Amino acid sequence: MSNTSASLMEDVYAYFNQTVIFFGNVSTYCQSSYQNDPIRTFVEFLLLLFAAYYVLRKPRTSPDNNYIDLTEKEIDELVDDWQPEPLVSPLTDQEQFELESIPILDSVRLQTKLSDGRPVINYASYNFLNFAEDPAINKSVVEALRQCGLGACGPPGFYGNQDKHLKLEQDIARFIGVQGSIVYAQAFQTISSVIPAFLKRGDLLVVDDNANFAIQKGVQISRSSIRFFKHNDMKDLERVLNEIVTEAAAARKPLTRRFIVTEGISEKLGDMVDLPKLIMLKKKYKFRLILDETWSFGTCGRSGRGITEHYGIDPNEVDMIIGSLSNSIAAGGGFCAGSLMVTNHQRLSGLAFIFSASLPSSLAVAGYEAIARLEESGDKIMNALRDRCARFHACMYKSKWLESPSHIESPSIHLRLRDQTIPHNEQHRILQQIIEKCKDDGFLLSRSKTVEKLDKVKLPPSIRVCVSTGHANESVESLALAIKKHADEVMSSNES
Amino acid sequence: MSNEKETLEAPAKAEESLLENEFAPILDPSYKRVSRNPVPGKLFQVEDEPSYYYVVTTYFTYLTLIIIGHVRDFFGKRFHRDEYAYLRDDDGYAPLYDDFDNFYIRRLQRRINDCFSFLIRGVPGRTLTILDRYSEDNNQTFKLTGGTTVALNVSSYNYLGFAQSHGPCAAAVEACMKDAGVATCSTNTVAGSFKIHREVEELVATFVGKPECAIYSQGFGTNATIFSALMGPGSLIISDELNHASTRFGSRLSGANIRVFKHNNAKDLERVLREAIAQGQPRTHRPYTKILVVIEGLYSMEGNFADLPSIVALKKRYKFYLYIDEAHSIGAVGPNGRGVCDYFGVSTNDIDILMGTFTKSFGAAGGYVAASKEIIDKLRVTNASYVLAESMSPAVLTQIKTSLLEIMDTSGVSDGLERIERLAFNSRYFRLGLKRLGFIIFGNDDSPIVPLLIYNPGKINAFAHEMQKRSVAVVVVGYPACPLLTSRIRFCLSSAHNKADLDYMLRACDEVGDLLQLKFSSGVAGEDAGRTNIEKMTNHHHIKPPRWRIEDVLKHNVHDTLTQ
Repeated sequence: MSNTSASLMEDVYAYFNQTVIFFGNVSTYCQSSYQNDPIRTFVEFLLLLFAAYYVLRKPRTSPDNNYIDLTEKEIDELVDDWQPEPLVSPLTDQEQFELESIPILDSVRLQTKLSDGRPVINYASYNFLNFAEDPAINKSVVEALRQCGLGACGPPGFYGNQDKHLKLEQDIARFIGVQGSIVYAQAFQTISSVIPAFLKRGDLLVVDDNANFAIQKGVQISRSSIRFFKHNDMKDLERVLNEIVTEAAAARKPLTRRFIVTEGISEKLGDMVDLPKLIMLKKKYKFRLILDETWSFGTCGRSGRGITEHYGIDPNEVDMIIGSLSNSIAAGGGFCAGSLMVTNHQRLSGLAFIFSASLPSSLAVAGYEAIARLEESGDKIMNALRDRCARFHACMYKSKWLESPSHIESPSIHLRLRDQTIPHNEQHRILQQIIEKCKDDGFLLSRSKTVEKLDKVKLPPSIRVCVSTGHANESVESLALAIKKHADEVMSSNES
Repeated sequence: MSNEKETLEAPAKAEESLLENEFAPILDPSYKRVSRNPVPGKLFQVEDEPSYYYVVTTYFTYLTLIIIGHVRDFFGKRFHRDEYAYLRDDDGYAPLYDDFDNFYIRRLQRRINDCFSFLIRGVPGRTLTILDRYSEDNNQTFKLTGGTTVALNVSSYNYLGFAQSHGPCAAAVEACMKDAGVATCSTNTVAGSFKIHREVEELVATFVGKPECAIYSQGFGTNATIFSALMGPGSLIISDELNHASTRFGSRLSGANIRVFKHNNAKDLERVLREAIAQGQPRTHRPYTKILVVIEGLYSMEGNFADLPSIVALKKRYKFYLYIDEAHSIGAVGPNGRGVCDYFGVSTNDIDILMGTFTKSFGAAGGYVAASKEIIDKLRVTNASYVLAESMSPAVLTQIKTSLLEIMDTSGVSDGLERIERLAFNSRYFRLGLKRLGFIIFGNDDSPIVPLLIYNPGKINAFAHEMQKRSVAVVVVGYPACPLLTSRIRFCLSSAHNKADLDYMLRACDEVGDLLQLKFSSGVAGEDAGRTNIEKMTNHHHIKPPRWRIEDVLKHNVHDTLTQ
């Protein structure tokens, strides 16, 4: 003990000695340099002063060079003077019109009632396969409720997902034919969340210029560089891809992630992408593909597996397939299917997955029960659906006023005016008049909706007819005839 | 270890009925409290700090983890090239994610992956039935063993215990499902608005105290799209730094300017407001068209309430609009469960927009926005989630309707109000106990979210595993969900717990706290509810940090919870 303290003392003494020697040296250095070279000492002194100033100076209050220093009194005056605009501007005429045209229904049933009691057949909701009314599915949904309650009460990370969610994810993956899938709690948020999970600033996106609103938002939040190609125009896509690859080769920059984002069946037009060509281009130029199948999953393909099945393409050729469980499947939520690497990454970085409560377990059950139906007898169901689509198109054939850009096998059928010289506002009103007249005949229709103010894609307004296997053949045909008739009436009364 | 386990009685015995596993019966009718701010205008929220030892060791741990991570990367990338192939360019394709971004996930988060994303079976009520799993590849993937474990649930946001498979809510929901399934297959503006939508919207508006309300099928989606509808270029969103990811997502999409103020700090908010109004928009100095301050009622990771009285006072002077995200507070706090305004006695007229979710207190899903008629009308046509996203399932709406009617019932037939008061009791009781044991607890004395600070990241799994051994399922939170330094355990209390459950958890925390050296509070938070030692601390009085024995805590806790 005493030994160590003695050696410690020695150390301290030695350190003290060294310090004295050092300061002695400094003072000798200063003295001699002052005598030998006073200018140098002066410069050194200035340097020292500047260093002290630099360290001690007041940090700038704002990094903005544009910052104006104001006194407290001036700020108080500015605060008193400042008058904000109202939080929302009054509704515009168009917005008022949209608000008034929202129908209130009794239930999801295809045969339902409007709020004023008029019975209607629902041709507006996306209940293409009428699973919403399937008593067997509803029975298992009730069983799930009695087993797990309704709400998930937490996000997937914190005990929110149940064995039912796992089954749903596995069933989707098996049904489509890929490694895995991940289920989000809302279909609309799915692609807006998938895109920024993989794309960051500096990455590159090639996007269809008529992409739906959710894609637009996902693209916007990813902050990647964006290039557009003409809607479903594979030649234009090739031109864009070629440009990018040539530019990148010339710039000799490190490789960045490159994605093509497009829809299987377009939400705004109902037409179908040329998938084989798209896959060929994607491979040729080494891009990855995010395919939004919100409108094609459960509505096309031999047994409802979507656009890949329609073209007979291996779904693994597509990097990410995004689909909705709230349209054909009649449950709720959306999914992204792909390789395990793709889906597992989203479990850690898909914002709408991590930060949102899980899907209620009953809805997950409705999801996998519906998929089981498709696996069981999908080809029959799809045949029935295609049959109704064909009947509708056949009856709409040679309509004088309306045309449809939609694919013949898509059950969401857009009808728009042939005469595109009419301003869009006016077109909205004409279409709504047709819809109102159809309501009197007992058919519920709707225009295809969007947020005019925020949507970058400005397309002519259209009526979106949603044909379902639950509709009788005769009903579909008489609807088409009714639309044709009312279009005639409305247009001729408008002309006169 | 096994000895300790025997001293604890497991709360969830197999012979207990199914219903008690979902919702515990109250042990004594007096175990209730009214959730109200005890001293109007004052907030009892302190953020305690541990001694430097814990801070330094925490940083040191991260440093070590990072160094080890780099060493592993260095050798791994050379000797196991295949396993790292996903980080390299492959045949002209850039890697799907960055090496650098992935480092945290690969080298730090993977170590605690076994504490997250458990699958459960059955109701997330008083107890959870967790599916057992194991990992063969260091937590990269998990396999289910087929077995299950029942554990006490302090993780789900089941504040009022409405997650139940039986009872009035489930009965009503079943009737709805049998009639019309679960889907709407459409959006609100096309064909997805049913009578029940408008009915529940009116009910929610009445409940929160606003003229109108719009309901959305996802809480995240509500926040993610609403700011685009309200704000735009030329306007300013001032956001609390700890706001939820959905709010940040939504405000980024809106195109408005965004400023951030220090968490729940009204002074800093005032500084930002003065600067914003005085300086105007960047570069042009044009005045902002409008300013929206976005806060949360109850912060889900901090457990504290918004300093609403101070912020509302600022609102009068600075004329900004106020948006409160009541995701966690609605239903859970306030004498009538009507959120933070109710708790503080602030008029809802002073708040422009009240947003909230139904996932938590109501055992349902989805979100709502309540405001004046003009605002809601505008949102019905310009908010993308309302126009384009699927509308809320009628079954979920039925759950909301029934649970809301239970809470709003004044006749005493239902137990809605009792649930709110039980939750208030449980929150105080548990918080008071932990505080007296010597843990650092963040947040308000009346908040049902109880973050217990553990600092050292190595203790994250240790705590979770030790609690698991004691049949308690907890949520652990580490970076990036909270700041690097303050890793924490988050307890979410519920009316579904009774006093026995809380005593059991206090005992468990006491044991684990001793085992992991977690009792390091400085005493600044005091050892009573509604009183802190901040003044003593600033006057340099010496404070003895509370380190009560568990027996003493349990002896005094009921009395003190009811009287303080």
